[in-house]
Amino acid sequence: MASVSIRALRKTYPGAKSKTILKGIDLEIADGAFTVLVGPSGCGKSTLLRTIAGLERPDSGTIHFDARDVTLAEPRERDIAMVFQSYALYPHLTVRENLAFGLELRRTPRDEIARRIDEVAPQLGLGELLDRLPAQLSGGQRQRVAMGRAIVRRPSLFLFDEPLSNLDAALRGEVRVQIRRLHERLGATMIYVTHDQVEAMTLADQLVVLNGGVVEQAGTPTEVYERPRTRFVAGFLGMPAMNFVEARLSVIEGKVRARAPGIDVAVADDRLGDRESTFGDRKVLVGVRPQDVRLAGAGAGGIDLRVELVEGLGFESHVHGALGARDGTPFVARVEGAAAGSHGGGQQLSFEVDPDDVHLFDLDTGRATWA
Amino acid sequence: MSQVLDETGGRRRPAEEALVHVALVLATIAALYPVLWVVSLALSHGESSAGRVLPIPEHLSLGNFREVVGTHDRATGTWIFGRQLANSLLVSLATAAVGVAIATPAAYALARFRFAGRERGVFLLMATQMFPGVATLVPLYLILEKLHLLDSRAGLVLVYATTAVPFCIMQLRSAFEAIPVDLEEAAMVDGASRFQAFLRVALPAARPAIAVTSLFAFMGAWNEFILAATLLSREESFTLPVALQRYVGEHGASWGHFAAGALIVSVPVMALFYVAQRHIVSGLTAGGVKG
Amino acid sequence: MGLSARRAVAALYALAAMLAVLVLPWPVAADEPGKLVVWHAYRGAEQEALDRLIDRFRAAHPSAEIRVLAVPFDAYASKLEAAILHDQGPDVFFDAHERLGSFRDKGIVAPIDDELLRDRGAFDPVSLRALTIDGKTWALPVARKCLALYLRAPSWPGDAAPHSLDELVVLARKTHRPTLAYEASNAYAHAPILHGFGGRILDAEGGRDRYAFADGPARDSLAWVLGAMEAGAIPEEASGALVTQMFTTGSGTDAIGADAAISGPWLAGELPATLVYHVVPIPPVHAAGGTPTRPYLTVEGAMRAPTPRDPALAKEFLAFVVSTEAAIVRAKVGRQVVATNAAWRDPALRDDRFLTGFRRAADDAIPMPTTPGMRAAWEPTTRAIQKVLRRDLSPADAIEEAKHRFLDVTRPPPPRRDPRPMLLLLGLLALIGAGQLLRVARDPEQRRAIRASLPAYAYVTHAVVIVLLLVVVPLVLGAATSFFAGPPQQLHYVGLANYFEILSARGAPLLSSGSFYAVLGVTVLWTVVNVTLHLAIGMALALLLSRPVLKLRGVYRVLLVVPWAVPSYVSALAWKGMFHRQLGAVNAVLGHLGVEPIAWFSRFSTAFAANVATNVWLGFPFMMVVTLGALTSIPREVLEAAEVDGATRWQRFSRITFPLLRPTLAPSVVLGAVWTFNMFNVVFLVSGGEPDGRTEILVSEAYRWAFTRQAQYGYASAYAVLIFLLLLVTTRGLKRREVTR
Repeated sequence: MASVSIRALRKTYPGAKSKTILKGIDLEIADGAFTVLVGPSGCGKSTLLRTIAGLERPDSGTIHFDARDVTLAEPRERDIAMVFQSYALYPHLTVRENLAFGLELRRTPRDEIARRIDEVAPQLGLGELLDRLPAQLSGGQRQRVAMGRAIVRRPSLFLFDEPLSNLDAALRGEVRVQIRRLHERLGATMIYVTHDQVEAMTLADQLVVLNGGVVEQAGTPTEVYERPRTRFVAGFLGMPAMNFVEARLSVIEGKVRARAPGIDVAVADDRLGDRESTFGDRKVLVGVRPQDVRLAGAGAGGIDLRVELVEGLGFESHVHGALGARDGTPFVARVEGAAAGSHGGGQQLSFEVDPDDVHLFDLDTGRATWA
Repeated sequence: MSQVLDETGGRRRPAEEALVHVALVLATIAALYPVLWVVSLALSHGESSAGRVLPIPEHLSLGNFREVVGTHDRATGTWIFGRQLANSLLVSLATAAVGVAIATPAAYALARFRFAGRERGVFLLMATQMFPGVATLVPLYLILEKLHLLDSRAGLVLVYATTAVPFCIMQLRSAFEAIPVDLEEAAMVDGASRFQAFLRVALPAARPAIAVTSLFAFMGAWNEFILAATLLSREESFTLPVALQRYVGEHGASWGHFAAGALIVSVPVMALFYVAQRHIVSGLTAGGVKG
Repeated sequence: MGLSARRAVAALYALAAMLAVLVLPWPVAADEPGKLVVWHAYRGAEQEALDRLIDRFRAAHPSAEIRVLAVPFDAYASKLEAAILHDQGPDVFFDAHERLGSFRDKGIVAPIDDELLRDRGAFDPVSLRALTIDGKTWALPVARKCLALYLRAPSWPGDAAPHSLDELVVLARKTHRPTLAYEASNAYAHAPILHGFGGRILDAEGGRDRYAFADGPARDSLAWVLGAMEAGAIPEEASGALVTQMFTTGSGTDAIGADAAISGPWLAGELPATLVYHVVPIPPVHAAGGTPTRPYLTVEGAMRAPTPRDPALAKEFLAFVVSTEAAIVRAKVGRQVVATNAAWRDPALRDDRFLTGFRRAADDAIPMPTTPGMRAAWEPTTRAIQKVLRRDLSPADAIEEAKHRFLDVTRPPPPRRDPRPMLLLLGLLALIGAGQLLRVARDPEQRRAIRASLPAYAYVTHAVVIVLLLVVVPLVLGAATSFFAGPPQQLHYVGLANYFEILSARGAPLLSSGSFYAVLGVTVLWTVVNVTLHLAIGMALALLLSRPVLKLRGVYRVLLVVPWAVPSYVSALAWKGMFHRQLGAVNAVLGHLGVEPIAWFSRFSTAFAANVATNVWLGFPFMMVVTLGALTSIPREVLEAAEVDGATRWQRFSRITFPLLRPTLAPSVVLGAVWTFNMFNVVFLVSGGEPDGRTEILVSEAYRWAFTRQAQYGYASAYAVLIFLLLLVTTRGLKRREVTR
């Protein structure tokens, strides 16, 4: 098992359209932690993972496994295992040979190899499949072989590169649970790349949100969800996505309030950074998650929504509308249950929100005002 | 003969379908007619086929085959046909082996590495394909003469293999490009060095393409006759195409023997060709002109 | 582990081992006594006779080690030169007297010992003279060969023979059947008739060759042949094979045949053993008066290499081969008109009507001139005769053209040039190259790039070295040859003179037949027509085959690919046979449709069409298969969407299918165009440039200059370099266009 420490990592792809993929990444991964790298495509998460694996060489910066500097080490010198998005099963080898491949390269004794395969195969339900070729397996079976290939190696670090993206939705949920169990049992350090926020939230001990080659925020999933450090993180996590409204801060009766047409909500103190500087007609971006609002009596809440469309999901409904007037800022609210039918287009609804659930971001930098 | 690709299965127009079959049957007849002539010539021993329309011999006979296969050297009693068959086989096999062995690592490097001189190398490779072989015949002859490899199988293999290399590289390069990089990366993460990843993962994964490329190198050598006719001079060092060509001399061509020999030479490679043909096209179109 | 990977490695090792065995060179002959190596180009009966003689000689010299090699005729001379100069050749070899001059100049033949020639009267004097140059005799006369008249029973029973060639023409007018088979358009076969009118092909007087196929005799001889052809006496477009066929068939059957043929002794070997015939000298053209129709005479001699392995043994063998005893065997078994006088005292020989017929013909024949001009004279003369017989040109014009052609081929090589400017240029280029290298080595950026490339170089180095050595070096050498001219042994530097001559069409009008531009035009036409037809036919068939519902699809697919699978030289030769004027299947099919037989190779349009038909046949399956592959990548939905949008079939093809196929097909089309541009096999084997070299494309034209027109390698190389540059520039341009699209 190993901890991973990344310092000021930079990577630029050469060529005519040279593009900087990693712009100085700093990251600490604790021994035995399950870390998920999440972000939109092109954010650099896969490059970061491949650099940790040794498949890419950084332009500058360092990577340490425990105290060992592995920045320039070959992949095979790092004692890692990786599960690829495509699974990368060797097409010419049987399942058994696929599992044995890495051990053979490390000159593990034959009986030891056999023992480990016999141990791992039943766990993953591969017992019957050992003598088949990858081409004869279903997608889910291949995925399990890819996992098995990593597990038999007993590496000090597991890397997963979007390992579930080629599975159908039902299977994905199942395997997600398996992976989490695997982590509990092995207690190994794992780094997991995904663009799926459900995977990210459910799997991670530590969630790292990447965007444009920089770490936007790292922390526990709850922390990141509840106190997003940037507007990007706030918008990236959560379904439906957070609503953003430009508003003005003012102090009314000693309380700070964010106000804009159709919205007038109180803000918790800990959301404000340096109090002095936020006073006095400062413009900010207010963020409110659709999940955090509750229906209030007509005109009683701080948020007045003119309803345009209601999506009923059965167990809940998403109310789409505009704040205040017809051409106000678009806003989505989540309502418990199938309340959809009772609300029609053009209707005015009022919602309330806890001050603790009102997020404030700087208009220019996109950073949370408290950060 | 306009476009009929989008005919859906549900609609059927019998008249149109009949027309399509007429067109295809005509094309097939045109494609087979010359070949059937060769077959019929081969099977009619010592009779003239002059002026006949249908390629059907009057009397079936395997005499031509017997005579071609049974060619012996008068003086020494060597079974010349056997010698020449062995020459053809050895030369073609060795050409395929050497050509592919040389081309494979180079093709892999072109597919996987970016390196200084890469673009220029690929361009040069393409350019060699455009220089007419006629002009290199004489220099090649002189080089082999200096190497004391004239009139030898080894010399012929050397020439064939190297002329096959550019083609093999193009073919294999696209084959390697079609193999996901993930495979070798997985191997490297699993503990392989770059070279081990090539040898133990990329190479086996490219096996079908390597087989097909070898096959084409083999066929190229098996069918070649201009270089062979220039570089070989003794009957017992001939390959079969050179021996065959001699049946069609200036005076009194013995077409029957030529045809029989041609069939003996062609049928095995035709069979192989059908195995390989599907694969080769993708290689040609993808790798052939890219650069 | 990956067992299969291990197996692959093992297989590689096995192949390498096999290769090592192959690379072991053939045993090299060492100079040692008791050894004799004999080379010859004989086939059939002559080979049989020689083999018997060798057996006898072996029996007489049981300790000697004697090797005999039958070398194919086409390559005989060049192999001899190469082998003897490298001490790998024969001690004794057989060849015709025409070659003696150049053999002597190259030092691969030694004069015959006086001892062997003590009795000069033992040999036929004409033969002996033909083998003597500058007072020295360079070979022992073995046999004489010339043309004579074959006559078939029952039309010509016993010793019956026509008194003149006119008689045969008159006979043809009466019977409406051909009476004389011979290759009328071949200069060698025409020579006796030309001589019969008092003409000559070449005057070799005063050491300089003068082309003599001119004036009255040439015109008259051509007019006579034309008349005979119009009378139906002699066949049109006759090849050697047709002559054999016609004489074998005879006039008795329905098929076309003739009871008389002009040919050499080699015809006898092709005739069935049951055929009854005899041979007489060719009679004069006209019965009364006129010069005799003397054919050209070739004297075959036994020659000796300058440094035989065992001189005494070689000498003994030479003496044996021309001995009376051996001569009788050669005459009886090999059907040779032997030059050893004493042999003819043998009654069996004296009564042999074949041998005596040829002997009489040879007595009257003209020894073939041995000058280089003679070799250059065949092609222009043959072409002129062809043109006249096809009525493309009047005899006078054809003769004039032939003369120009002769002068063109025998023109002296361009003058020697001072190589210093070129050396200076090369030096300068090398300097610039070195400077570049130095700059690269200095530039830290480049150095880093090269250092980063080192692992990749490990994979490519061996391929680079081998390709450089055996592909690039010959290419560069070939290209460098284009700056030289002169006979192969005495090349000299001429600067850009070869290019200048090619690009200025050697002083002739720029578009005259055979000029670079005319050939280029034909080549471009050839490429465009072929590629268009390949694409059109291939695509049409692919579209038909990709119908969603089609019975027998698999069968069609497999059968339509057959032309691609057959080796191209086999198909090319098969097609050439099919286009034969009299024997070919194409004319037979046309005949059934009521079309007059076409002499395919007598006209540019038909000869070109024959080439195109062959090449289209060879090439359409490739395009078909490529299109089939490309079609599978077009989503059905797109076409269905277009159909829903109301597009007609043609619109769907032209607006959707074709544009979508384009990017996939473009590389194959470029590749196909390059192949077609350099498609040597088809042009060389099918039309062979006929008529009159007008269907020649650049590659085959280059080949002609290198191998049939006095080995003008430099000139041929300049052609090759021009072809290369043309292709390179065009494909680059095409690619750029395709990319910018």
